[in-house]
Amino acid sequence: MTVLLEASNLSVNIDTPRGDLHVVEDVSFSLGEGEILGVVGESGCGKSTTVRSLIGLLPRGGRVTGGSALFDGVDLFAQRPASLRAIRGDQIGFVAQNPFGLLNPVLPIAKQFRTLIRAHRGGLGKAECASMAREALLRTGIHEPDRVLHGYAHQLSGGMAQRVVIAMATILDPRLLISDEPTTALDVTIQRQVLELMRDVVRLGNRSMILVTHDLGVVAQFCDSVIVMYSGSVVESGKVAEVFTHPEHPYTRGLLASVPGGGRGETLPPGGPPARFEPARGCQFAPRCSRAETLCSVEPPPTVSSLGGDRRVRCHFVEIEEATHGAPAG
Amino acid sequence: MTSVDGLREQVAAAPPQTSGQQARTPRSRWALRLIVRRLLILPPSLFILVTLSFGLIELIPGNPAVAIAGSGATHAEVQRISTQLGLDRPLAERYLDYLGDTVRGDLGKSYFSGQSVATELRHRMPATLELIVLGLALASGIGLGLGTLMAYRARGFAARLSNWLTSVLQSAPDFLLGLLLIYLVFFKLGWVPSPVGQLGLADESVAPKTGFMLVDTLLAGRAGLFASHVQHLVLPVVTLGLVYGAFMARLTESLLSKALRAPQVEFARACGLRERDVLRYAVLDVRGALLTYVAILFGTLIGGASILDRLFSWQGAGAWALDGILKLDAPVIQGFILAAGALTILAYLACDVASTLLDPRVRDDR
Amino acid sequence: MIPEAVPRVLDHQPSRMRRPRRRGLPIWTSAPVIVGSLVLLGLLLASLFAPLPHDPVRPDALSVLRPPSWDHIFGTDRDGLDVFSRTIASASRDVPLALGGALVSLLIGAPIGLLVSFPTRLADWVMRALDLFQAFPLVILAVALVTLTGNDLQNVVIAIIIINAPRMIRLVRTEALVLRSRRFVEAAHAIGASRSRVLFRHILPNVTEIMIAQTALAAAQAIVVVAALSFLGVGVSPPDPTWGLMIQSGSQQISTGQWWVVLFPGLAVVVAVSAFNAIGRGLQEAQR
Repeated sequence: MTVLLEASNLSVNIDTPRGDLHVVEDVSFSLGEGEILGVVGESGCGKSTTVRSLIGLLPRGGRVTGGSALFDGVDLFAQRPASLRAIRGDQIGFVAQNPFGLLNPVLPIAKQFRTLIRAHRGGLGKAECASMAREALLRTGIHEPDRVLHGYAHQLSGGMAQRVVIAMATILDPRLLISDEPTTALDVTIQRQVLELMRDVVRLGNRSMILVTHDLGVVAQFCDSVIVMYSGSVVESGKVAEVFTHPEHPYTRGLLASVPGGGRGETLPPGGPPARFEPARGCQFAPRCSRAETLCSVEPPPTVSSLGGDRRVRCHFVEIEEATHGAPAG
Repeated sequence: MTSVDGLREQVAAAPPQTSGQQARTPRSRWALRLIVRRLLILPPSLFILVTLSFGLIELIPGNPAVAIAGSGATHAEVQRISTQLGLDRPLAERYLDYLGDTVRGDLGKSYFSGQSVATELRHRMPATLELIVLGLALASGIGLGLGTLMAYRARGFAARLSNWLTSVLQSAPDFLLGLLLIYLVFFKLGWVPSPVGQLGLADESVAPKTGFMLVDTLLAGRAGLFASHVQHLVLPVVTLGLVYGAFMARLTESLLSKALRAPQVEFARACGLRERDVLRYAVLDVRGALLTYVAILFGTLIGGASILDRLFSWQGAGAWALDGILKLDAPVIQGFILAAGALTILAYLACDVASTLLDPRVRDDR
Repeated sequence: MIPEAVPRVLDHQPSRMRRPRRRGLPIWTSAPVIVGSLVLLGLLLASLFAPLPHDPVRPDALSVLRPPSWDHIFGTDRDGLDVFSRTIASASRDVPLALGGALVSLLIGAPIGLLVSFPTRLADWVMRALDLFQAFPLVILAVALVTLTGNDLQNVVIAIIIINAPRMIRLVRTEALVLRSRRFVEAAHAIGASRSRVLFRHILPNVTEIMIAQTALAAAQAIVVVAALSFLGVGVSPPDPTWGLMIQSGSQQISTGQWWVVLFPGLAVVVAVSAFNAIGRGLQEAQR
């Protein structure tokens, strides 16, 4: 499988009045063509910031402090703003939560499509833009595209609005679709349909997708591989089937056990990822980890990659166990 | 693909929430209906305004007859003037008379000059309006420009400079700025004629047709007078533009910097829209609030232009009303309050109609 | 009737998401608040106690309209009065008057604002009355009231109240409305706390800081109102100096180039307004 996106040692800081906030630290992952990658973790663990940094959409004061992100051989972080703009929307699509907030409230939908298309394909006529938009809307399962196109955002239902957003994000046939909690604001019944729609749009075009979510069920059902993040770092990554059946990191285990009726073992203790103003020293999860020992809060955990495949785990104990039991077969 | 089938049902079950009917009514007819409906509010509002201003003047202690007669007048003289002005009749009778006259367009006569208040207003209000409308137009331009700059390039040098500038301008009373401009632009630089009114002292005025001198001089075909009037307009308009432009800039900055952080702007960027389109989306988001602010400023200025009128010797309604107040000239005060209030309410109505027409969300609500 | 016609878009935006403040420092320790307070205090103390180089109310017929020099550092006006001494002396009238007016506006506006945050018919009427009030030419109204109540400088306070109290009512009401929908207030209601208990124990403490900030901003505006009214000759008793009166007396010579009579009291106004604004904005910032 060809690699489409390769992020290495990505770090992001946000400049706040109280100092630099280390939001993302040393995150690496790769995404193959046609692959769907899930990014999971509790709120505030840096999932959204990680994917937003790829397309230069950090909040005010945020900046990438290190690492690279090779997209189709091009380092996204080394791009000038103008060329990154040309990539956004054209080669990388983006969908976020709350579709009503994403659409412009005072412009007709057709006009928003036209602005978007002309930003990348200058010189296209009104009629051409409209027919492209109509096609994109049909692809996302909207059967009366003209009615939607002549209307405004507030006239749509939540599910419809999210479909329009997906149509906008994919109208120029991007090779990568980044979706940040795309269904959080939707009714449970519509969430599934929207996710299935996104999966189908991605699979049909042999595109790739990064799906940020806090819903492990969604990852299990829709993703090929997964990275689990905690406090700005990746604690575990690999194929979904392997990570979910044999979670190695205590945090992943805790997350899985927290799914109602979903798992065995200890659930996560209360609390959340800490906000950090200094680079990590020990394991960030140590304060909430039932197995933590002195070592954990002093030494940064090593990345264990001997589990086979592209499995990676960052934990002292996994390393010790690997050392004593030897690498498992296959 | 099962999912698409599922979608079909879902779409059929949940059509777009609007009737779609309003969107299809011709916009102009729909707008007309809205305007008519809004205008119906005007008469009762004005009625309340008239009643309040009448009551207010009545409540105020002090007898105008005494003021008119002067300090050395005898009791009999004061009585005579009272009778002459009708001040000795019962309150209710005078109120009903006043209401009836007002409906007929007769706002009474000034106690002192004997001039018809309605005529004076007709001649003087256009001069004030000319000033305010041009001043607000300039203020909107300055405010939108500087505000956008401050919100969009918050950390740049130009933004810091205009931030500082608008703070200072906001702290300066308009008459102070006006005086300093007179010194700088008239006395030092000599770019404009001396601030003696709408025209120079030597200029022979034209007969008022519309009352708006910009229009009247053109109608009379007097290009020289028109140019002279434009020159005399510069200082007061720039004064208004700078002071209220600073307020507009502050508001634009705070609204726009919030709008620029909104999800719709992030999504626009994520779609790779050009920065000028991104900025346009954000501005579209705040234009309703800005429009409202312009209407509020208009209301404030109609009542508050008296100082600038006086400063630039402008023959406007403000200075006239101010004199009326200092002399307890009740018909003048009432007439001005009524006219200024009516214009303010009209401005709010226009703003309300405009923002309803501009915002499809409100449009569908009504 | 009127209310519908008057757009409410610009009503004070409620401050949402009030994060717990940084521990340790009280809010008034932010730099703009301290600097603003020191400037005002300095101005006030100087006007009350500092020895002035000349008598601010005794004209000197021999030095009329002198430009700034060592003897008269701000120059003299058309009556030969020393502009510097008068500028400083004015502070003892202008500043307390503006602050007093703002405080009285607070005392009137805040309780009404809290009361009308309860959804009663009275509250509805008060809000409608306020909307209608917006259509009145306020400056004219203020001038009328001050003139007719005896033309005393003290009565300028009435003008300040007329302009600021409605704003205070709206602000407090909006904030209280937001608070009332918050969890802790709902919880207080749910456990059976009385109306007045909710008002005084839960809502009032949470709007206090906003009210203080607004009072400072109102005082800034009041400085301008005082200056404007005394510029128009309302409420002044010459030769007692106020900044507005000084600017007025200088305004007749500005076209002939005697700038100092206008500029220095004008700068004093700008400084006083900026100082009050700095305090108000500093307090608002600190609350965020």
